[in-house]
Amino acid sequence: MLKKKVMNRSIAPAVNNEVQLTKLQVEKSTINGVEVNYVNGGSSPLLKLELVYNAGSKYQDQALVASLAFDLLRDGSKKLNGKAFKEAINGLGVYYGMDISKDFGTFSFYVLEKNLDALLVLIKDLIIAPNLPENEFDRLLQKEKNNFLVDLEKTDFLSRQKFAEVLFAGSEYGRVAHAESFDLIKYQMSVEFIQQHVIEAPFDLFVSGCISDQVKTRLNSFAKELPITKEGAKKIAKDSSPQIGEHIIKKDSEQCSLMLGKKMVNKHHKDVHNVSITNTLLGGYFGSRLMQNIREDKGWTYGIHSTVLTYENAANLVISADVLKDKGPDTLNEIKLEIEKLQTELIKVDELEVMKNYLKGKLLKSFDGAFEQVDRFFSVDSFGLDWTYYDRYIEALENITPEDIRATATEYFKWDEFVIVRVSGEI
Amino acid sequence: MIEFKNYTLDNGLRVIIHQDESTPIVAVNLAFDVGARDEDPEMTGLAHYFEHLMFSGSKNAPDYDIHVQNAGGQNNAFTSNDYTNYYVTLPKTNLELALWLESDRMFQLNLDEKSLEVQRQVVIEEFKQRYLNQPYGNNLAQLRALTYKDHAYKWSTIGKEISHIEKVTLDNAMAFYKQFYAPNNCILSICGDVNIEETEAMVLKWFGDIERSTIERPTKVVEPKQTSERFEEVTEDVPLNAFLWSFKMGSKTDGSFAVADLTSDLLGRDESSFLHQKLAIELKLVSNISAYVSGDRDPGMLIISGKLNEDVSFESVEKEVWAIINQVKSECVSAFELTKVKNKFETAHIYGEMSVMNKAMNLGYAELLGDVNGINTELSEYEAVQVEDIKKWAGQFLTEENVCRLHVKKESNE
Repeated sequence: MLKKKVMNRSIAPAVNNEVQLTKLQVEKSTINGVEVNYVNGGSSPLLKLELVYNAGSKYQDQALVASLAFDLLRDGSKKLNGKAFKEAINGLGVYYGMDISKDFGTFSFYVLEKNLDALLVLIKDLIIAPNLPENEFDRLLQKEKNNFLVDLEKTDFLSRQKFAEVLFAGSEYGRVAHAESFDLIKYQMSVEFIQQHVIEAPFDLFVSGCISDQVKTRLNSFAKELPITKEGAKKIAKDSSPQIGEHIIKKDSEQCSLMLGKKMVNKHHKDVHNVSITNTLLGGYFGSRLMQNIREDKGWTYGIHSTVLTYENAANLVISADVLKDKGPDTLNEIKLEIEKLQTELIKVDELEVMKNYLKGKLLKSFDGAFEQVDRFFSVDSFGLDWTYYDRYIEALENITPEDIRATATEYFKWDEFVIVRVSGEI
Repeated sequence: MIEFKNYTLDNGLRVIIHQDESTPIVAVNLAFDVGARDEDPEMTGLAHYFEHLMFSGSKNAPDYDIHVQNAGGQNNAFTSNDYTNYYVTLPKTNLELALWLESDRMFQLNLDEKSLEVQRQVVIEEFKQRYLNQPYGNNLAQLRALTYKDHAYKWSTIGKEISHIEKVTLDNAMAFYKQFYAPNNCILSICGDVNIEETEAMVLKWFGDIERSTIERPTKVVEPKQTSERFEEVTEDVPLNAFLWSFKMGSKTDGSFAVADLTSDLLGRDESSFLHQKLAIELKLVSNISAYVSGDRDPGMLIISGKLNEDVSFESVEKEVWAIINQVKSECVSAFELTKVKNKFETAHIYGEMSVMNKAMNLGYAELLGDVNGINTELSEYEAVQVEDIKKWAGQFLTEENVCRLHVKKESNE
């Protein structure tokens, strides 16, 4: 029988909130038009390779062109394609993705160092002479159409689509697929997209992990041997004119999906860090005002989140939640009240301290390991910024005051600039 | 190879400590040996609901989350049919805070009507968001119910129905807590740049005086052997017809798991797999198709599922699935094919060893399965699999008497 000791648990162990961020040295060079970036760290035999092209969805003339083009690249090269290509690349144990965002088209590969050479041969053939067969395009189009039909049944998808359209009205960033997009797209458009933006086009290469000199030599000569004849040209997306106000979509469902937000400042702006911190307070972590109010106090949702998203030529705030089906308008009202509170009341020092400490720890974790660091580096490098961005962030975190937060909320979270999308069975 | 120190406290708490000097982050993981399989069939979903309640705060730390946030930490939890897992990562200097917090909520959780009611509503919204408000969201639960007649795997962790969650009382929750949230039902794993001796002392300090509980689990039900094919068709408001099959298989620990897992990879892990190549690319019968194993402590399932292209019959799809299966059963796959799926496993395995959080979680899970050393033998178990093993395993398990077929038919517009 255990004897129960009386142990004093009431005093919490002391917490240390100093953060020492160890940023890995990024080795940067330009080889044959390819911007090569090495983020070297750790001891695992696994490497991450990313080839980033100026080939995001903003470069397409109509919806689906870019995403289908990149899907089609999964078929391999003229030399090795279809089943043979898929067997070869999977046979190397490689995990890979060919994805587009609004700004970039990216090939990413996780590969064991021992299989790097064989993988580079496959990549080289792929980007020099991709296969791009028409029958595979037709299959992929059908697949996308099927996925789209499934998505149309999801209230959160409907809200996301509509939100992009009304927030980015007038901009390439607001172009989303509709049922008719599947009839308008033609095989040739995706082929031309690849010819224009990938074949013989320059790209940024990001390599992370334990990068030996041998690996560097191999990758440098890979870059050097590529035929790159095009100039890197970045497109600037048009500025948007958001359709302010509430947009309602009727859809019978178990829940009501909300998505709302507004334009926001980008990474170059002096206030970007204060905006980010203020957003965290509003809805950027579990302890946020929105999460505590809508989930933890009222139980109306499984989760409510607020995020600042940045693109090359735009930035926005987005708040999203799936809530009880009859609580849509009430939730919107609570969000409005929480924002007003930020604009009128000063945050208590305790709450501010907790959030700062949380963000410092989160930052530390987001720099844990080369794979994490390369993501952090890319997200500043792609804006022409460098590691000092994070030094400024830490500085802002250390120095931000309750008054700064109130001022930031007042200037950047104006309710009458919000676009609001509500998808619900009950209107 | 992951090196670790493991031992058991007098009160039954199993402890695993792994040193990783390369990271500023420490991970603390608690795996409790309680999951949906331990639930009363009339009160399903309780284990998962209770996971939410574990964040209600404890006697000395009334707000768990605020303490974690203030220490620069991040935390979360999940519940499976087999166990419930809590994890927190934070700067290494704050390890003791995590141990204090975790021990305090094991020692004396604050439970009240308010948090019970709020979390009840949150869990019901989670039920809707992830299962009911998604096309095909509930089909896996339907497949479970078709596959298991007696065993508790017949319901999902979210619960069989919302009404079960609605009737949980504070007494039910307290009884569940007292029984299952005790040191003798928990595995604590810690990974990071820690000093082992100091960590041991901290663990003893905060967890040493928590009392054991007496655990009475429901009598273990052995699922009777299936002797003939089962079939069910449901009609739902979905845009495309879909099919889901299950084959009953062994448990995670019965020695054949690696063979089963690699067989499912060969069949449908990625776009180079047999099913995807044949049915999606070559014949264009489905828009997607995949195969995977559930990986459970009791005998589990190998699941094959896919969505049919328009105007394609279930019959034509299923005929081709059988053709692929029969091929795997009648002739050995090529050495290349097997090496391919082994290589993919190796990459994933190595990736999994790159973060302290994964390592802490995997160490705890390996111990839960019966032997923490399993974490270091897993890769060689997969490497040892031969093409004949695949053929033999498929012949034994991928049979017509052992299949459960679910058709999800779209509502006709007429």
